[in-house]
Amino acid sequence: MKLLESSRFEAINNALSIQTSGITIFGRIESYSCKMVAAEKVLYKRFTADSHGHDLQALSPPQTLADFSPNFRRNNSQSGDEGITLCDTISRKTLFYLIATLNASFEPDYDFSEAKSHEFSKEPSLQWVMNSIHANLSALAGDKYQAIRQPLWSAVDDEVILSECDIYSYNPDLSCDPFGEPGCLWSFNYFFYNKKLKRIVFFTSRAVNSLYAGETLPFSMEEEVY
Amino acid sequence: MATEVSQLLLAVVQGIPAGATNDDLTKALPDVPAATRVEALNILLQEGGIEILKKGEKLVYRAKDPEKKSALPKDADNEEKVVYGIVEEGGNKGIWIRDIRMKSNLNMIQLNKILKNLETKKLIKAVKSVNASKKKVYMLYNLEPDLSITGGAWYQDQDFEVEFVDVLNQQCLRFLQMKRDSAEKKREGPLAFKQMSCCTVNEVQKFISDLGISKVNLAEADLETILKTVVYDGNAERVRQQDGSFVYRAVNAPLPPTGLVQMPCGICPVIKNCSNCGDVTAITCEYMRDWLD
Repeated sequence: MKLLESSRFEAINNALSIQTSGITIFGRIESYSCKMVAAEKVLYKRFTADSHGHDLQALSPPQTLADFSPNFRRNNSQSGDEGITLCDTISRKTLFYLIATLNASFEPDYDFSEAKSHEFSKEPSLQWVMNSIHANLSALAGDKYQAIRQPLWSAVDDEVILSECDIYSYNPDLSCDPFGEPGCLWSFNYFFYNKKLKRIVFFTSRAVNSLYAGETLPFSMEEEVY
Repeated sequence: MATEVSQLLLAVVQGIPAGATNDDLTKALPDVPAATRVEALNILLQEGGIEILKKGEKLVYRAKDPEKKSALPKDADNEEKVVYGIVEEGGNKGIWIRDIRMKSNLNMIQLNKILKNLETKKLIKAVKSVNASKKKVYMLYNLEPDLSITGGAWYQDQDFEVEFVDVLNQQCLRFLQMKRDSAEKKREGPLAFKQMSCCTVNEVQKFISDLGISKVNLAEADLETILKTVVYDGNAERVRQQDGSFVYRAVNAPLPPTGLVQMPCGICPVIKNCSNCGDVTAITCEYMRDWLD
């Protein structure tokens, strides 16, 4: 996966690092081309050794649904026949793209090669994702988020044409990935995948108790390397 | 001159295993000027005969084990030595690449290059950890990973073998119950019955080995963890013997739990609000309905 440079994204990334009293938000959006580098080709070959990349893998239910009460699910299932709902699926190739994106984004400290498909979800619609992100960021940084909201979504739309995107999210297991570190209050990770353009925009954000934010300074310094 | 002094210093440092301070060196060799001593110490450090440690505010010099020194080739530069030492400290539990970077203070690109070099020379290796599957962990090449890394007999390629553990659990329970049933049939009195229905871990291990359901060779410690799961399921009890070891015994409850114990009211968080009228009533309670169905 190749990180596509964009001064517009960099400006937004600066604005997404928000400091409020007691809480620090580390957010960033990155655009990747789905062109594999040599190391990733080796990984991909091993990853699809048992199949041909077209097998389907089961995904977890959308994370945004977790925002609603259990009653919502019950009502939803009652409307359907017998209350049975099929889970979302993803092709193994697309799953590899998501994993490679995580690897590229959090290298070198973390390695997501062993991630399973049930750690990802497919989100039902763009509006839901935007509302969920809006709810998270507004709660902590309402004024600053209002200022960058429009440029943020314009930039992403220009990059991957949001209306044509499949949207996936990564659900942290919170024991050994970047989102389980001490002091992390919440996090979200969305992939906006445009199959035609072969591009993924990765939007990741974490809220960290400011007492712990100092420990992640090396993480911030790393961004200067990009 | 400095070379001769360095040999004397090495002898002094080797005589103090806890580490020699500058004061110790001054006392041992009072005739040597400070400049010569510093030069001699530098020679020893270059050769790798001693290492510098920090104890509080003081520097401490300690002799290195000559055997350890040979593992790292002499043409390795100082950064490689530092990184190798940090990985060595991690032992067989490994060390996370971020911890290596923080301890060594090297930047990411430099560290990656060094790690790649050391991996190529087969001095260190990357390890997949069961409890930290997303983190890159390194350890020395010739070390066998710790159980907490590999997961032991219950993990196959980083995946927990749920079915395997379930089967073993059932078979262990079956063996315990067989033992109990055969003791019951002999009808020799309650004390003898209790004694005969106990099984040692060794007996269970033999039974499982004879079954041949496990391709891996299971040690007694492995089977003890399975027996513990049977105990925690409530199907067996663990009895301590006089010699400190444990035996296991199947448990048959004489009566099923009474209905009163199973009532959901006992753990209801809003029981205090429950009454014949209002929002919380037994008639509309979903837990009560589920329980009665």
